[in-house]
Amino acid sequence: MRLRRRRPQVDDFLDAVVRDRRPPRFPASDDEAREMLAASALRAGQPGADAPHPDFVEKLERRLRTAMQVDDADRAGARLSRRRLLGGAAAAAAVAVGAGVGIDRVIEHIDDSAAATPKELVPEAGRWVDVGALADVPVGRPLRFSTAAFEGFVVNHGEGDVQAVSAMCTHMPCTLIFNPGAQRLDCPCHTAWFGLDGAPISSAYPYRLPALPTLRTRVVSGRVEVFSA
Amino acid sequence: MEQSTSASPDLHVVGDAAGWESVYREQVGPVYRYVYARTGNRADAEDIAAQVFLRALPRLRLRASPGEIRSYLMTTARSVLAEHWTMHYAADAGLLEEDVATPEPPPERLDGDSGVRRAARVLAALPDHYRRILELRFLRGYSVKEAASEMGITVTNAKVMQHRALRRAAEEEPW
Repeated sequence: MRLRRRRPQVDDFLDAVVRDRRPPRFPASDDEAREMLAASALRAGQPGADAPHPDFVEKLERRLRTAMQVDDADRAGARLSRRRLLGGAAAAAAVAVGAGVGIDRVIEHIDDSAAATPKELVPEAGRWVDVGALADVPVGRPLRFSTAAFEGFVVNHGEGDVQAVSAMCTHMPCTLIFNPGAQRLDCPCHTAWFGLDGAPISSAYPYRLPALPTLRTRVVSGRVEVFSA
Repeated sequence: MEQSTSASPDLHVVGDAAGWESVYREQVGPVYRYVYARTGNRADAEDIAAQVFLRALPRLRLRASPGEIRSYLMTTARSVLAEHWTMHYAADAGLLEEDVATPEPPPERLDGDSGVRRAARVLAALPDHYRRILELRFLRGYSVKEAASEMGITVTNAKVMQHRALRRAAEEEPW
């Protein structure tokens, strides 16, 4: 059996896993990634290795408490109208749609018409983050970016109108893919499409999905910046 | 939608105020286990598990059944893991996809299948020398050099054997 020459970083990855350290990042082939995943699964076989550390559990609970408080205040207004809309008929139709619907019982859909309008997300601990050159975002070709807290697309609508919309589907947490032919952001998981302005176009569900949130965006000396955590 | 859960025997009613906290405390262990077995290190596992809860919890209906809640959290975990592997290792996101759309993955995959049991099951299916090198490395924490000396082979051979063994292990079951 002959093996293709492996990148030395694969060995570094495996050594890091053995020592429970964060491994190096590098572009790997699918075969290499499969080996690295297998090593990760075996490392989880050390007794106790895959139990969360109590400090982590406690810290994350504090983070979540803050996040949930912000979210509650955010949604208080939308709650009543959503209840009305998700009454009997819509509920029955949702059950009939099929795959993916099991999950729809689990998550809340903010479903009033206000939610279908893109909503600006302003992180409390935000700062201006450079996400690329304006020259790299021609009209009709969004630029995918990631900040620490946000997955998004920069969209150039022309005439100086530049917008950053979330790349996260508002149905379930899948990341959207740009569809150049249709000039849409499509969800690869279930049928859900969004316009380049973040507004929901269509989905397999009998209710409108919320619009994709947007970030504050500005252009400084030809660079696009978004206000993100 | 809520009428269908209210008839369910496994209805999981939790008080509004403390609701998400009890969901979190019940699920943080299983979610972390799932994520750790697909990252193999504490730093990445903690970052990813945190993202899973930060993304999923604000959207949860707390009156869904524990099975439904678990299933949604695991779907979120698969998605965050797929992003992690795609972004940092350019890996094909499909590598991790069992099926994002599966509303209710089989319970044994979400639960009880501890890292210890899963590793043992995979190792049991391997030829002796492959099992030995993987045990020494990943279960007992030997360096390649230590494992080579334990097995009476050269370091180069130990590395090659480790890669072949991992490749075989990867074929044993989807990760």
